[in-house]
Amino acid sequence: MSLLEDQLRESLRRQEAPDGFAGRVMERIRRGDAADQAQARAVARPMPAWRGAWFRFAVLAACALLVVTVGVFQVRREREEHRRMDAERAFEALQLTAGKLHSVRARIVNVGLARKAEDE
Amino acid sequence: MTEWESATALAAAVRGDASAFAQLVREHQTMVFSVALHFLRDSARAEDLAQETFLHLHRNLEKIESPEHLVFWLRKVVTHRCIDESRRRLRRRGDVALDAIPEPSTRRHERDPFLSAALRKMVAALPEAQRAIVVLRYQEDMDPGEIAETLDIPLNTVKSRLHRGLEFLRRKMERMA
Repeated sequence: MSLLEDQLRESLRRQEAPDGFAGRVMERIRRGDAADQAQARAVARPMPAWRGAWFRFAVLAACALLVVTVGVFQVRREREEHRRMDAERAFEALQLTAGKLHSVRARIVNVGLARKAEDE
Repeated sequence: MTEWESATALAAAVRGDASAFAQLVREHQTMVFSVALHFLRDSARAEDLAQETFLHLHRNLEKIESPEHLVFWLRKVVTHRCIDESRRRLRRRGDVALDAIPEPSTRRHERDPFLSAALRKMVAALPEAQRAIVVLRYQEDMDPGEIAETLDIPLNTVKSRLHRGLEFLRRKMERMA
């Protein structure tokens, strides 16, 4: 195995990096730093409130609440209207019934008076 | 570069001295580039990966405690990046045909350039985990304990993978002979 290991050491000896390697690394670092600074400036600038997810969520929630409130109000108003109309109809029916009962009573009284007069 | 010079350059680089950082790059570029080259067998990709390793170092300089830690850190980062890059390439292109990989230009001081080229090709055929261990063992002359620490794997795993890798290379060599 040692011959193979010697051959491996020979084959895998370190090889010089290409010329200008360090310069290219430093150039990439300079470019990266500039990009990082630009990114940091972009992050530092406050984002308008209307672009925030929370703000949009709050607007949507307010709209939904408004729609629900208007709907509930409308339903209640319709129910109230129905109840009022039902009461009016019932009152009219009672009035009619009372009128009819009054006329029936008057007839009964008249018939009673007529019979009494005949008997006498 | 003496140890004191390395420590001074490192301290200056941590403070933001660009020329000190460039000095560190020049000091370690051969090691980082060679690990990438032996792993990927593609000079352009190896240079790109080595550059990215130094960019990563630049962003993490404050974590480096000493020149020894710097060497350890660079070996660790470049090896892990090589493994990741190699796996990405395999996923992108399917299995890589070894003959399709260009052989880097013949090096000076090689006793048998043909044998060396063949061996490098065989090393490139090893699975990533074994390849990383073989490169660190025979390029960087690290012992299994150091390799285990660098790759963050158990010592016995290093030993068994190294053994399997060498067995594979030996069989290939015998077949070639």
